[in-house]
Amino acid sequence: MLIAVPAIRPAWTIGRSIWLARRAGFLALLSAPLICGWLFHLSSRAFLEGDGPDLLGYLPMGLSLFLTFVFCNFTESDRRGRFDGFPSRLFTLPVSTRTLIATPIVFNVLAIGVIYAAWAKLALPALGRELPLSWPILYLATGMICYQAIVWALARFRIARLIILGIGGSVLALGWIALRRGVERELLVGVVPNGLDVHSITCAGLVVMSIGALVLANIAVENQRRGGISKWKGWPGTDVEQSSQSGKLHAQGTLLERIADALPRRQKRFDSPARAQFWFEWRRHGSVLPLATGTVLFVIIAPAPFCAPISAERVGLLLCWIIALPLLLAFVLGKGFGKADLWSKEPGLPLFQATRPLSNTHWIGAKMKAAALATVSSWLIVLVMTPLWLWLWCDYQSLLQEWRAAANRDPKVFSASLAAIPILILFTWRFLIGSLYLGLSGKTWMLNVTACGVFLSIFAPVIGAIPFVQRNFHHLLFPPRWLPWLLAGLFATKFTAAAALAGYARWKGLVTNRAIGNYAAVWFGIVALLVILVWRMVPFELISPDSGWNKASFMLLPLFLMPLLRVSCAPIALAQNRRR
Amino acid sequence: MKFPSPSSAEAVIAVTGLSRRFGSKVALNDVSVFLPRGCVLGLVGENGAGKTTLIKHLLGLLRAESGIVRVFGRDPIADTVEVLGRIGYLSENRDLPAWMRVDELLRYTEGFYPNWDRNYAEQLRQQFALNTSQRVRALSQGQLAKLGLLLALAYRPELLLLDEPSSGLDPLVRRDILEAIIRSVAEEGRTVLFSSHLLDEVERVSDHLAMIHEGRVVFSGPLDQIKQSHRRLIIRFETAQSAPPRLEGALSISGCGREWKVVCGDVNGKIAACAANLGGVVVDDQIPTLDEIFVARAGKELVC
Repeated sequence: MLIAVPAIRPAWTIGRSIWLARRAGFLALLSAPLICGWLFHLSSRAFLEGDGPDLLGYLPMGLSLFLTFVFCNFTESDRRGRFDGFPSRLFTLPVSTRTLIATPIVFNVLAIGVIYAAWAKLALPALGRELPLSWPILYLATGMICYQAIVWALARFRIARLIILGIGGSVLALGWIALRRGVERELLVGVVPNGLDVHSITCAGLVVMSIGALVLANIAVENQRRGGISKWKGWPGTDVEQSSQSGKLHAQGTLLERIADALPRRQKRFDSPARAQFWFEWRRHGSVLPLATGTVLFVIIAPAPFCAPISAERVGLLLCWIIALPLLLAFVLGKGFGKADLWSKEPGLPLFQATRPLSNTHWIGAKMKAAALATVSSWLIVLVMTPLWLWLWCDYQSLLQEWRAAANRDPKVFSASLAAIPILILFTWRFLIGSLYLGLSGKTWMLNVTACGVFLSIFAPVIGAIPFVQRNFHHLLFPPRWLPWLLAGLFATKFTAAAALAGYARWKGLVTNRAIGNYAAVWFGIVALLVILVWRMVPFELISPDSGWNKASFMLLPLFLMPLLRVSCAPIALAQNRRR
Repeated sequence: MKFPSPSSAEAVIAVTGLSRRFGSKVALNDVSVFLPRGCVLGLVGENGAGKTTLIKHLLGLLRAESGIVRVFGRDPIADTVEVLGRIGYLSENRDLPAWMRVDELLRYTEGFYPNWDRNYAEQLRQQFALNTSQRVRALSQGQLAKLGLLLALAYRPELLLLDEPSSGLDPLVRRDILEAIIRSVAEEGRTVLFSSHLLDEVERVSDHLAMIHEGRVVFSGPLDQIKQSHRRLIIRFETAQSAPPRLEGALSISGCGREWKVVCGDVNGKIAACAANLGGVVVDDQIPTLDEIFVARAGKELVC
């Protein structure tokens, strides 16, 4: 028996515990290629035409592999959240560090290999796509080992780790594309001596990289195991600093906390619990969006002085990204905005917060206000920095001319441009508050189900919808005339459910009439604004009178844009989180 | 040996017939506890007995499956804000927001309590030697416990709920914390519910005692009365006993050979008669310590 060998036994025991703890997640990940393969098989005829197979096959596979990397993140935080690296509880086991790190790495490499193989051999063949096994598995295994080494080595440098993982992930994806298309042969021409196989050299390089990453992981974890963290003191992003006075370790906070500390701080006392909570929400959640927006914007804009003037074509592309930036960031941050602490792995309310004498109404109100301030601050950064960037380093004249020409042709272009700004601001806020109920519920299973729901809502409809759209494109463009009735019915259902939930929350004393009235007023105000904009901006005269996309349909669409039902769930979710 | 009835207007805490299950485990089973104003109730019981579950019900963090929970005559679920505004709570977890600095946490907490006493908070801060510019995550366990107690005391709450306040702390920190609690009780006559494993602490602070065992309140009442109602007997037998003697009414029997220690309720006469039947005689009769009562009620002593 293999496990009878003394050297293997501890590794086997650790591996078994990892498997028992993670088998459900692994099986869920493995089910994705199986389900997709079955779906592809059902509608393979439609997929085999055009770009369908590439789009529908590779996109879910890419996401599935990405999720596997996230899932295989073998780390644990310490109780105070200062450290998020190799689980320190394992340090006391009577095994070498090599064994400690080898076991999760072997598990992770096996996991990524099995999931890739399932996509390559079970799912994609149904779309007529054949993928090799050997080099991609080696490539993904190398990526996994490097990923794990970075995660462990930078356990105390969370922001630096995020940046490095982002860059590493991009390199991994680009390398995959290069290898898939055989570009490495062109890249390595002249470097590799004649007579040697470029592919073999690449594979050997991957093996060397894996060994290097293993050595790095071993050094890093060994260092952590022996308490060698003091070597890293003073690095940017670290939260440990030696106090000159006491000689004790004092946490100085993460980079984000230091930035927040550098900003002017409130010294006055808070007049009310709602204001105190608003400050808390702003510091812990709200300030993240403007900081992130400013940082990403800086990364986009910073190279401008070195490559000025930037051509009109590039300016147009970058401008689109800059405008989309707060929206994209708000969409991502919004998923955690409702949590008690955005940065905490624990979804539930800490006892300290749960026992503050603060009503649910004030709590949710503080979150909404912090989201509003975050939105306005982010857009202020965008609206101040972007014109400066355009004026100083970009060829904006031709863009301006085109815009003027368009405005002369149709005066609505000017007013549409002006209207776009408040609409974008509204949508940013909407993304931040739309998922409040999820975080406020404090239930891990709800967050997991939502993550799966996002996956399904992105890919399942796409998988089913593309053939449908291909077949029924005309019908979708010219839907039946009863479309407004369908939309009205859907809205009536949504409104009734929201009203029922709000009524229930009111009956249970979870929310006040005033709070319901306030949000209803905000909701009606925003929806009225959107309806007026639709009324003024949409060129109804160009739409065929036989199409269901008539004036009524367009007027009904804004009713679905602002969250109503989900906001009604928020006080109930918070109440359940506070008392179980 | 009972507290005032639930109808008493002065009962700060009135719990009647409270039951709670977590899956198949019964955490609380028909628990009734009444705490009059100005009393200090020590809540004792082994790990998992249901002490924290009871405290969470008082804070409105758990909904009663059956029974009635009233704090200041109010339902902590329906009137969460009003009830929490009058309670100072210190949890054994000490899960204060790690990212805040001490001064920020003080200012943040102050916002929730109109009665926050800045001078008193500063006095406690100095007494506990807490640095205002330090981050909470950098504090030691002892400093965290002190900061938690400061936050619980600084608004002079009517009711103080202390859930294992000195669990896992060194003797010096325990002394500091206990002194602060005792001073707060002595100077302001505060009502306190004090849950702890450390029975010497409970004995020092509390004037009333309730013991929970497997979700049930085994006994409750004034501390002196509880101690007076238990006896510790030393019984010497003529011949060595190979097994613990069968003494009806004994809560616990420990010892070996000829001499056995028996802890019992107020039934020492009956025990003496039983022992005489078995050839034994009571050679010592004293009031047991709280530790001995706890062990007799909660567990079984080893027989050598």
